[in-house]
Amino acid sequence: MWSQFLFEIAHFATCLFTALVLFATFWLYQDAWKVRKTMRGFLRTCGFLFLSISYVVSSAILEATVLKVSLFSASNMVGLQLFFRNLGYLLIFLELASEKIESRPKTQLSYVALPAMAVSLVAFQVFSPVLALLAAIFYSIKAVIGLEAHVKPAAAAFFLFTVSELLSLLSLFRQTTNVTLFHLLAPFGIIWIAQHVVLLLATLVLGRWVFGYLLKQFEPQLFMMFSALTLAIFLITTTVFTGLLLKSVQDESLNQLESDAKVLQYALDSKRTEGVADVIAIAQNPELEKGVADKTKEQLGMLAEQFLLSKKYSTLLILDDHGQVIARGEDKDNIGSFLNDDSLVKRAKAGEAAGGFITTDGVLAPVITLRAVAPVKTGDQIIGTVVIGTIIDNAFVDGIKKATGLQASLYGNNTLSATTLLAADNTTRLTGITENNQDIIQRVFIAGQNFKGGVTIGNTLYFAADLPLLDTDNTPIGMIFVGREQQEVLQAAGHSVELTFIATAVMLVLSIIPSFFISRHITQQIR
Amino acid sequence: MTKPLIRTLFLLILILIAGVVLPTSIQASVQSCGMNVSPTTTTRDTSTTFSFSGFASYSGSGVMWVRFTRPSANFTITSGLSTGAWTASTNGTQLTFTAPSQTDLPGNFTIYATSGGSDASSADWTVEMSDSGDGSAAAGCDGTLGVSISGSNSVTPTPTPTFTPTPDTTAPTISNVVVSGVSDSSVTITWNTNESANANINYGTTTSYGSSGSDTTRSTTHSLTLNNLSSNTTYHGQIQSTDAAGNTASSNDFTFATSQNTTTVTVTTTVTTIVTPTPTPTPVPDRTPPKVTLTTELNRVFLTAPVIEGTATDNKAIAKVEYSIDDGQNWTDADHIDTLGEKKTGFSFTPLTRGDGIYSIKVRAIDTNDNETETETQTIIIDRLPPAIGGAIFSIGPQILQPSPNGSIVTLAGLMPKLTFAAVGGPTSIKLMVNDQSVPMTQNIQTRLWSGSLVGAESVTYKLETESIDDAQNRTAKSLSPVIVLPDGTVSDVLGAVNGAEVRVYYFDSQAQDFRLWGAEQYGQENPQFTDAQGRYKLLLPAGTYYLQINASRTRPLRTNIFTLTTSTPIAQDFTVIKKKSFHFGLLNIPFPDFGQNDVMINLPEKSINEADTNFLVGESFPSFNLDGVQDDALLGKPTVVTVLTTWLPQSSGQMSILEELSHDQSVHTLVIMSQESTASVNVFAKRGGYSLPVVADSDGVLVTPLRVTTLPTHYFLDRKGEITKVVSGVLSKEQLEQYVQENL
Repeated sequence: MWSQFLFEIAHFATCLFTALVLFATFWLYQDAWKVRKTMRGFLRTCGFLFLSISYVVSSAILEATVLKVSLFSASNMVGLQLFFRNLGYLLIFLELASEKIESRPKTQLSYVALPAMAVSLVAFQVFSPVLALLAAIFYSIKAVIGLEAHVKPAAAAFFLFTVSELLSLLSLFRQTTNVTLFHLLAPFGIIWIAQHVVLLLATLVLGRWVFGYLLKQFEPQLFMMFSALTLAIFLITTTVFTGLLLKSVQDESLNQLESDAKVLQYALDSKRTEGVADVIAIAQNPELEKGVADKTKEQLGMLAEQFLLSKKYSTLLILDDHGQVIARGEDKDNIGSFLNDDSLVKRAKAGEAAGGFITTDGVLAPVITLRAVAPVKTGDQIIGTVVIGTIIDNAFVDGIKKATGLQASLYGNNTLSATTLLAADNTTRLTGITENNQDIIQRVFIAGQNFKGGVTIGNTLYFAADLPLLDTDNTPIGMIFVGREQQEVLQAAGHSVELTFIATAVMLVLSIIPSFFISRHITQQIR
Repeated sequence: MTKPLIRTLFLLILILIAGVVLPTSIQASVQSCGMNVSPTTTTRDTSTTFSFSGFASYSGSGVMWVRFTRPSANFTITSGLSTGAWTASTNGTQLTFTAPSQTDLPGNFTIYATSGGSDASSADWTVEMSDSGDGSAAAGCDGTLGVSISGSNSVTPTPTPTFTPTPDTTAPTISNVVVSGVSDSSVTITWNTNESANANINYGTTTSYGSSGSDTTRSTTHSLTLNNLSSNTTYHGQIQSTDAAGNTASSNDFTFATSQNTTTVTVTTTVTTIVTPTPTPTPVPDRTPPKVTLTTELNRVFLTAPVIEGTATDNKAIAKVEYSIDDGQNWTDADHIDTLGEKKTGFSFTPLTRGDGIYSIKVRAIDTNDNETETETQTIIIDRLPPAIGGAIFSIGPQILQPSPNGSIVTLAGLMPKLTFAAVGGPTSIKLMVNDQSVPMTQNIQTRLWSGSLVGAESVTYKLETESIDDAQNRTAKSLSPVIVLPDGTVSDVLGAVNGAEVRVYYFDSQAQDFRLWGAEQYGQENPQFTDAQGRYKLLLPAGTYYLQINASRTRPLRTNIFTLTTSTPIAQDFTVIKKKSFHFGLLNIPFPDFGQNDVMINLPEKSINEADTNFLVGESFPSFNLDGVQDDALLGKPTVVTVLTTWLPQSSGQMSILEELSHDQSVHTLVIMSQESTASVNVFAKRGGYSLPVVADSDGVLVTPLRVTTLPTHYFLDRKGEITKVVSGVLSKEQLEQYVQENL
């Protein structure tokens, strides 16, 4: 998670640095244009300004892994960036292509024909490297064939921009099934890093060239120093702020998860209390009391089914004073067994109403059941017992997810029994997989304490809070899990990071204005 | 002069090389080991926590691999735990603990295992240890490893034992201290403890005591007689009881006096004051037991529980008549007693039975003086339905193997699935024949489901035949879905199988858009895993996107393409790795630097499977039925999807949700038949799930045979006339259901 964040910060810093250098180039050309106002000079000046703007926009575009849904829609941001980028390259290329090259002796090259660009929307995305390449070629022609050798660094920078643009295009091939290619093209993969390194190189080459001119005059020098300083301050502030923000979101998430796990524990406890209240009410039903006293099994069977359906329990048993099942709501023919060894039934036979969680074997995983018992009395005499049971299944944890938006699970022993977690097919629940993390086993299952931290379930990384699920004797029989995908936490923080990046970019642009006036004012004062 | 020098140098180089190379081929090993298991007995159908502790003697720095094999097929290993870095994986038969590096044995290994439904004499666990992560050159362990099964567990669902025994640090509680049998030289002191503990009394004429009496036998009731006491003397006493864990409870000081038949005991706080009254002489009691006879002829087969009648007589008066259906373990009152309190009475009762089965009936009469008489055990057999099994599901660990659309199951030789199904008609045993080899099936007393693990190592198609037998010796045969066992995937090079090649599986995390090592441990598998001497590996991957990488010594790494699985799928591809080029110098083989790798396309097995044909019902009318008021004529007029399902199937709620969505389409009938389940439990299931589509219970499983249900769920697609046009097995998505409906309009 943190590596992705650092890569994103690197992307932000590189783009803003590039934007600054391109802005410096714009400043250099506009300085020249002010002296000699030609259309070509205007085109070139605007071209560098647009390129600078495009990299400012680019700095605020986060990878999809960090930001699932962008504030301004990812496609809008990319579209805006491409628009300014292509427009910038195009204007620079037009200016270069329409300029007469001062030929060297014996060189027969005059105007270079302006190629008619067949603009195709489909090819819109590949325009950037093509236009950057054309600009690089024309700078090279001017430097190598023409007399303007001093623009060689600009040509080199544009060649590097071309490479960077080409590398960024490769992300279109991320759907490959070739592992090597996938690793090369993955977000924050080798190609991604290479693209940013090349971009940084291009920026350094162009920066060295442009600052060589700008630093010869006092006012632009001062202005650029102010701008660079402002950029540095903004970058440091943004990095520290977003880093602290992410750490805070992570800590907050873990604390919130622990609270939510306790809410789930409370919900289970409430369900137990509700179960006990229900079973007491059922046991006090006069019709049921009479049925147990008279042992009218047929009537009790119907009553048990009726209670079962109305209360939506999984099982409802009525026992006589010998502990024999004389009615079973869910299967009225399946009676006659004895439950005298059941610890809860023993408590009911002692006159106590009680409830608790038990685990029983299931097909793939243990089944967690809430059971509650109450004695059936005639006066003070205990004549039978009512037992209700409800399976704590996926529907229960689904309800928790609906209320909190978090993933919730219940483990029977260390095996996932009921869960909202889905396998990769988005249909199958991850029921049956085991928790083998030794920290969790020691803390939750053995020591009966809470656990808070990162876990891996079904190959996905989660921030999780785990609480022991206790039986009536306070012995851990399983675990309550509430978790949130780690990537989701990063993406939640991603919104704030995106907003911070955009605000920083806007403020950086705005800070240019006071920088300009301050530098001009100081210059005038010195003069 | 120079030649000897060169020779010496060459010799030195050889020695140096040998010094570097040879030690790598010498393996440290486990020389001996010993293990003891606790407990050594368990009851039927019980989930038991077995604790293993012992030692190992090794020449290396520890042990990396410990394997426990169950004592017999009567046990199924469910999971295991240990402290430290040890991780457990099990296939139900064996459980393997592995550590990332050689390490000392932990204090104990804990294994959870479920015992079967029948008694079994003591059989030994097999414990092996190795200092190698792949278990090579494992040593077998000695020790007390026998475990037997005897006695029944309660039929009630009981809480599963906790994962690791919590150390007992609680002292017993002493209560009900009674002094009796007082004479001029002795007294008897009795007391109870709330847990099993030994008995000890310190006594004397002062609170310093000085004398003691003890009984080392652990019990919850204690009695110690103190002799050689002085007459007419007051003594001070203090009771101590120590439990098995060494926790000792002591009572406060109390006093007692000799030469009196009645004595007063004063015990503060935890000790109760008890006065033992002098027995009052009573008249000679009535010791004549009543007589009880049954007039109903039993020991035969009934369709339903019969009314059982009889008479009870006594010389005084009959106080109670009770019966038992479990050979005297539990008793309940007879339904009707003619003249209670008289010397002779008639009685009758209809035993409460749990459907088809064999019941051991006993009747007892008790007179007013608590004398009682029991009848001999009489057996009744209730046989309403022939034994019949329903559709089955196949699972490996937490993964359910989806049948292919034609109903066959595909797996690997080393990953044989567990088979689970329900049965009606009270079968007492079910034989599963796997290509003429018998596999024991056991019934889980809690879920009442039958299950067993298939065995077999050959890569053939296994035909599964079952025979259910009930108490009336009715036998029902049924064929289940065939299981196609693919040969394990292998890694080889030009010379043949590669031993010890590392097979790694990488899983695609769609959120992070990155691959990471697949967490096989949670699925009871290993990743990475190392090939055996035959170059074999075993993988059953759940749904997801993956790629595999194979690394073998001195070969170029091999990588598959990225592939996506929509359901659990065995991987059985044979990979051929290419040796890196090397330079041979005598015995030395020096590889050239080679950082390249080979790519290979994955070949998933499902594409080449074409076995059983389940569409034999196509063209036939759907069988007539009347279940919970729904009849077969309700299926006419529109295309219909009938799904046979059960509530215990783990995917049932998911499949129900999809069918519920389909049911909103007015142009299609949908019907769900819950096979071999009671109407009430199906109603609860439907109500809890909030399903509005018709769901009916086929409690007797009458449609299982005519519909030839072998796996669950099974979907039947019907045209407007009620004719079956297609039969498909497995969980289907809404799109698949709609597609099949459209195809069969």
